[in-house]
Amino acid sequence: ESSENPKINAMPISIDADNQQIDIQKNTMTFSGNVVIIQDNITIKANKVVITEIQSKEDQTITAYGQPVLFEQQVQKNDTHYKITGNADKLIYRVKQNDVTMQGNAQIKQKDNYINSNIINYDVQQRKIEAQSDTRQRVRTIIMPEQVKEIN
Amino acid sequence: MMTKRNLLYILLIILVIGLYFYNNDTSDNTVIPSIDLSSQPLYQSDKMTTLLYDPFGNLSYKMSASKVKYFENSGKTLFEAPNITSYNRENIATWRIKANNATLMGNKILYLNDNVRLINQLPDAQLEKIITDNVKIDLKTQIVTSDDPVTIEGPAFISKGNRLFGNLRNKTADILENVKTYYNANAKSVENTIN
Repeated sequence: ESSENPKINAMPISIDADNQQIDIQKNTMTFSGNVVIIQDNITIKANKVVITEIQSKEDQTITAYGQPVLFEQQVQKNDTHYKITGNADKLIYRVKQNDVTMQGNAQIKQKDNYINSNIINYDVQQRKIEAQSDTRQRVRTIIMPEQVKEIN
Repeated sequence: MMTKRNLLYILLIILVIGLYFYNNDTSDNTVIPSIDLSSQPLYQSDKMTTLLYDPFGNLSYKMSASKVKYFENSGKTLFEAPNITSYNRENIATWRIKANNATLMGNKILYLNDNVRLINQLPDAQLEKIITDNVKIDLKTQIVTSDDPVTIEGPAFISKGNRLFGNLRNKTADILENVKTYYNANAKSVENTIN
């Protein structure tokens, strides 16, 4: 079922921001002020975004900082359409690996199902969620049973 | 009463006054119109190359242009179709800068106007080209500033925004206002997302 949308990481990314700094020596781009990143069905809103390794296709990484960073993915599955939203103090998107890591007061939500944790890993392509907690804070998950059927 | 002598004196006085005015008038229009030297270039040449060295004697800029005019009193040099190459301390070409015209103020501040392009000469650099309308370059600090819309292109992205603050030496470029960037790992497809 995960192959139904094209590999997301190949899609171009558009980034709007108040300002941007490109540093060739360090191969980084820093965007600051009302940063909005859009890639296919994913939108990330943050105060500051740093893209590192911009020259390498494999390990270029987008790191977003915000109070909090907002993440949203519109999902279209046959006729149902729903949104997965997330927020965290920091969000790291390893584009090639389709991997989003939310760190610090991380929460991911789909309708009334919540997961709160210190760290949440989310595969944007398979829409697979993995929550861990590296501090004593426990992972809290709320799943609304009747909505589970719709998700998968 | 009007004696002959009085009449003579009056005539004399009129004559003297007449002569006096006559002299003044003629002295005005016989003045030779002087050429305003400051508006004329001290030298003017076609297809000239200017070399600028840093205090240690390293070549820092090579400026060639189709027409160059140097004005001595204002210390200004005007370049038509300038083609400028900047060099780093290892004498490697770092940037090529082109524009329709440029004004060099006393070997220090360079203003480039119309169709300005700064092209990175280093291979596989992530920032290839900076395109804008007007740019000011401080040749000593290599700080580049522009208050116009600017486009920056690299193999993996295209950015557009307003106002540029760049540093050619440490190769950073800041776009200061409402930036729009199209970024893509396999960049070639970025081209078509723009137009």
